[in-house]
Amino acid sequence: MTERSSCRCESAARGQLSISVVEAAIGVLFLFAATATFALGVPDAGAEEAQLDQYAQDAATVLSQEPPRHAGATRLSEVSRSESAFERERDALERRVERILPDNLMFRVVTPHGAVGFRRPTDTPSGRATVPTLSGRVAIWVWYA
Amino acid sequence: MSPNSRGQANLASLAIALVALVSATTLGLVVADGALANADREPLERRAAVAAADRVVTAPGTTVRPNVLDREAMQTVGGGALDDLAPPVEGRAVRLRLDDETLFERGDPIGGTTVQRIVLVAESTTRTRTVTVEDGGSHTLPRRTTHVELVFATDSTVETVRLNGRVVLHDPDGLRGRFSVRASRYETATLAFEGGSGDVEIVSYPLQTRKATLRVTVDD
Repeated sequence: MTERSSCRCESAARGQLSISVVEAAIGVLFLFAATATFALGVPDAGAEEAQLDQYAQDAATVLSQEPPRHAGATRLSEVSRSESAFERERDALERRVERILPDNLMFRVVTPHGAVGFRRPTDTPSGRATVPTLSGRVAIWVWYA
Repeated sequence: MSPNSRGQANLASLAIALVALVSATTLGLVVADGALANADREPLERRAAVAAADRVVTAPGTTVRPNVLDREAMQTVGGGALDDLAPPVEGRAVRLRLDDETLFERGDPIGGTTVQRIVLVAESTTRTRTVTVEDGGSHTLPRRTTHVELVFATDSTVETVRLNGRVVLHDPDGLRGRFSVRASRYETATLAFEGGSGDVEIVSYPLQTRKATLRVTVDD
């Protein structure tokens, strides 16, 4: 009898942690799970990459319509023409691209005979445009400095 | 005694549970509202800005060639012209800036969506030089031009003019007066004169370009 009553006392003591608190704790967990999906946010709109692509495209358009310095149809076809033409024109090309692009942009121009510009980082968003020429594709990459 | 005391504890814990649940729900709603507000990218605004920038840098009315803006034509780009070029901007606040100069502004676009384009701004200049040419003489124009005007003096006896080897003017009785000759902007023009001598005024129209950034801001 004494045992039983003590047993009853224990169960009464355990009963003090109300079931509704436990339920509420589980409920709050569920709500936090739903909140967390919102807190993670939505993916970036990609406006930055779009703008960089636009910069690259603009630079490509400007360059591809510039008259050549010596021979060829345009400036870009001139540099992609031959190894020697590229070597002769590379400094002028670099200066020209540097002048066309805004100051906060870095660039790399890849031609079939070599590349001018800066080393391209792999961890930053960049924009790219390509221009087909008679002797291959010329690719222009730009990224924020 | 024990059922009574349990009952009192339950009431208090019920109150705590309700408070916890309500505050968690409120927090969740605030975060969700913020996330949805951030997710609004104003697609129509962006579309209008992209379209306007695109048309301005490619339309024949405002450019010399794609991405090369005509300085004079850009001065006159007004609201009506911009609406005609890019219908999506109609009825929206819009600002058109070339470097630091505001070309056109309608309404007051605060924030909004801005699209930047790299362009060259071309200004047509006029170069006039008078040379005395002799039979077999030639003259190279230092800057490339799309057309050349030649004005021969009345006592000129020049019969033929070649531009980079191609005969562009010929008169066996001697060329006199004003002539316009088309040239190519892709190569340097060399004029060769044959058949006589005389004073020639050579007028060329080289384009001077400078780089600039075109910014189009559109706000609803």
